[in-house]
Amino acid sequence: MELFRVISLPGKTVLAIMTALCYYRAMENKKYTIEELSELTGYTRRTIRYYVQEGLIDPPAGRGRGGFYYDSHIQQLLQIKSFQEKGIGITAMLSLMKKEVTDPVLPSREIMVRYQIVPGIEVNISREIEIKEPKKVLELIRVVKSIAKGDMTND
Amino acid sequence: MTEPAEPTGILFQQDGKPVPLIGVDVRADIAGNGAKAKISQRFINTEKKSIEAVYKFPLPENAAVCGFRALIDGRIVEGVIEEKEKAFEKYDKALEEGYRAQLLDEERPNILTLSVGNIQPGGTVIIEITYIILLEFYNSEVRFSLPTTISPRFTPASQKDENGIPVSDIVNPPSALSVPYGLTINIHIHGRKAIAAIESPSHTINTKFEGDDAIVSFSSGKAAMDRDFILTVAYEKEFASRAYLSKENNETFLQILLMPDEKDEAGKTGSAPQKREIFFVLDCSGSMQGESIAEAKKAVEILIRALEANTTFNIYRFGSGFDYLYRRSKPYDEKSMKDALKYLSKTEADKGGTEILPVLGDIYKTRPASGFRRDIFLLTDGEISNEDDVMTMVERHNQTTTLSTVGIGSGPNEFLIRGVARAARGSSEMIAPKERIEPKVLRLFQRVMAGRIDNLKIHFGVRAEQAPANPVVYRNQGTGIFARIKSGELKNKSVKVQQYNSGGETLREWSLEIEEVNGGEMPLSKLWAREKIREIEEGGGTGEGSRQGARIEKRKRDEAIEISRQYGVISRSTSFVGIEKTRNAKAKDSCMVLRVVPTCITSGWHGLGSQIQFSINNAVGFMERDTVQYSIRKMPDARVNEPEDLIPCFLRNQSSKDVFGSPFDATFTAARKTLSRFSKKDDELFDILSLQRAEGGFDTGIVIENLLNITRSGWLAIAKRMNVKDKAGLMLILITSVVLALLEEKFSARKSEWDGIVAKSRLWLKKQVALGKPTVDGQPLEDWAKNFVREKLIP
Repeated sequence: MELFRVISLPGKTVLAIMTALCYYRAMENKKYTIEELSELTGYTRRTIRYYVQEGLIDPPAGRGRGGFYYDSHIQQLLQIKSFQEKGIGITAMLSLMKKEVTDPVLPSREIMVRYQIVPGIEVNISREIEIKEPKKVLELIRVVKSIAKGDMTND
Repeated sequence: MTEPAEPTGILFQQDGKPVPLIGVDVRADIAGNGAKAKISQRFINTEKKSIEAVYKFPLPENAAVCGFRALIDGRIVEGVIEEKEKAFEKYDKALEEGYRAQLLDEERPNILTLSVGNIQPGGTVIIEITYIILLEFYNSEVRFSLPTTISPRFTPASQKDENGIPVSDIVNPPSALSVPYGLTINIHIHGRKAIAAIESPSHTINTKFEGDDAIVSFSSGKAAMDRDFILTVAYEKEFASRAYLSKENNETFLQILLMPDEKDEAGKTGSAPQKREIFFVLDCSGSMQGESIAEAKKAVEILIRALEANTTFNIYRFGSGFDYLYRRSKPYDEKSMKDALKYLSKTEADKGGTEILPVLGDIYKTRPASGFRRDIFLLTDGEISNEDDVMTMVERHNQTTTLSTVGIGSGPNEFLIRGVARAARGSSEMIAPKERIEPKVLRLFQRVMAGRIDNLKIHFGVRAEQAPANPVVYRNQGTGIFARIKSGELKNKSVKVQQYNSGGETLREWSLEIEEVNGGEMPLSKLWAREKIREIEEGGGTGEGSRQGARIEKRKRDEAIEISRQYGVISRSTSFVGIEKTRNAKAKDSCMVLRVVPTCITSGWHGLGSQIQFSINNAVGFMERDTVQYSIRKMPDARVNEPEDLIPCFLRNQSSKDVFGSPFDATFTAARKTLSRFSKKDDELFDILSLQRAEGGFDTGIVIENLLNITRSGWLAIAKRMNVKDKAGLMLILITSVVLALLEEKFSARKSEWDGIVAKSRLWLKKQVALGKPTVDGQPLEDWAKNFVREKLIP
């Protein structure tokens, strides 16, 4: 899981927030409906839709509203909740995100490489990580694919 | 990814996406001081994908929204009331499953969000929203107001997100300098024989007559949605206090309309002390730039001149921060009046955001001096989103301080302006840009100075749920009080309303015969429900964090939800949701794109001139000119040769047979009066009033000298003929008596506008006359002045 740790720079809360929101993408294959996501996180359906619309959390997988959510969405929502508990409002998070997107030092959140494992399961990996650690990424995809196909012998 | 080619003739948002809303139509029925309105919004999807249209729009803050339906391809889908989040779930789920659905949320009592999901490519959906309302009424006049756009609200940094969503996103729609949709209206005013005048200070209107109705529409057909539409209906007779009853589904509802006037006084004075401490609080935030700040400054100037001698006062200006005229309020005299006028002349709307709480906090932190009654007059467009916080603060101090509000601008936040006055047990006035500000501000000032009328007890003779439970009323301003009688029978044929003072003594009393009415189109049950819900919602905070507070909040919320569902009236905790679950209503998939409808920037907002607005909108061919016009029902044929500019524009374009019929004689004066009330030209009356001195008494000025054809040496010549015990102040006594006679002779029809202002001069003169017994040519001064003015005014 080393590839997916939260990237943080000493003394830069801003970056910690951003990296947490934009790059924390655990690769789990458990799927949740929006009702389940709402129950698990305590956010209303309306609020979850709003966060997706504003880009605070990733869109659900699949087409339209009926898409499903992963553990990564739960993590993102819990992360938002922890910021809110510290008194950081959504407007502040959004403005940090906008700042982040235009900051040339950091990679843009749009640059994610998507690997389809099997239909319905995808893995998104930061482009920066992919460039830095290409071999590890390939290895990971291979492992995930084999897990998804039910072949656990690689472990 | 590129968007599909778009059809021509559709205007696009700044981001290049088509706007799906193509027009809004309002049909309203006004009967006396009640109205029912149906708003129809037409959406068309010109894109190749299904869309979800989201539109935030304003409504009057006391509207009881009781109907919501969609017309889709000739089918009607009725909406039902659900708890807010449950309604969203149903809506969202329906869309997820590919059905068509519509949702109406109340964000604030005057801001609603409509979501129309799954509009198919090429499809049309018409949304119909119905509300009923008790209109604002004064003496013989009612005001129908229809907001059309939401001015951007300022959200203070301290304001917390609501359910994890920023408040600014909840209340603010995206705004644009122009929008492709416009407004058409069709207002039916019933009982045409009882109507004296119909006017609109905001738009050019046309009035026609059919049967018993007067029907009002825009002269231009369609108008831009960049300002509130205001319609004033003056009736021949003044409103009186009344009581109505209607029976609906085994329940009885009562509506008590109180219109106190001087006659209601039982010869006893209220408990209010004579001395006053008055604060004028002026909003100088950016949104007030342009017409609004100029109007507000003018209003404060008039009120300062109207202050009486035993008053202390102060002026505050606020925006992101605040400043004041004096650190502590000072007694009103000639010097402090001049200081105030100088301070006002240097006032601009340059203070940034709209932080109301700190400035009010500064005033409230000092208690009123002993024996003083404190009044605050807040002048603002109210473009903020923390209305609840402001209401909670003023409510905490309403025992010691009454706060009254003046709402200014083309699209002020009516919820803040009326709600804060309600919480502070004050009164309020809304002033549209083309309305004369002076009479309305003075009307407000005079009724507030006459004292609030509260501690009212209504004797129903049976257990009744009254809303508001603790009403406050003001002289010459109508107030509606509602009651639900669930069980037991109302045996009384009348209700008694009594006002008590703290000693239990009756100050005023009304005995009102109960008239049974058929609720029909305007059910009293819905008006009661609206008032009850408002009272629950505005019931003040219960203290953050405490468990007991949370329980109380939940109980209040549950009660509001129950009433909302039972009577089909929307609240802040409920929504209307409509779903069409038929096979042919199902789309192939649930994929759709979001289209948020922008609203037009309010005319005059941040000083944005109407000229810019006009030039932009004129291109799409439906914008009307930014000139003020009037429609008046009755015009006699005797005066058709009046200068054309005095005749309302719409009348000039019509056949004189329709309007100038003989039954309408004798009301030309009323028509002229109406025109002058809205005229923005210099007004001789207010030029005269601006010559009043702080302690009372008038100086001479060009306006007086022109009207009476008298020069400075002419005054001196009269003074020489005058006999008075003490020569000091002789000239002031002379001029004051002449000015008061001039007001009575020339401006008698507008007495309500100046009477309160000159009260102190009248007292002052009375005192001087008693002391000096002045005469001119042997005649008592006041008699001489009356004759002098009469002679001078003869052409």
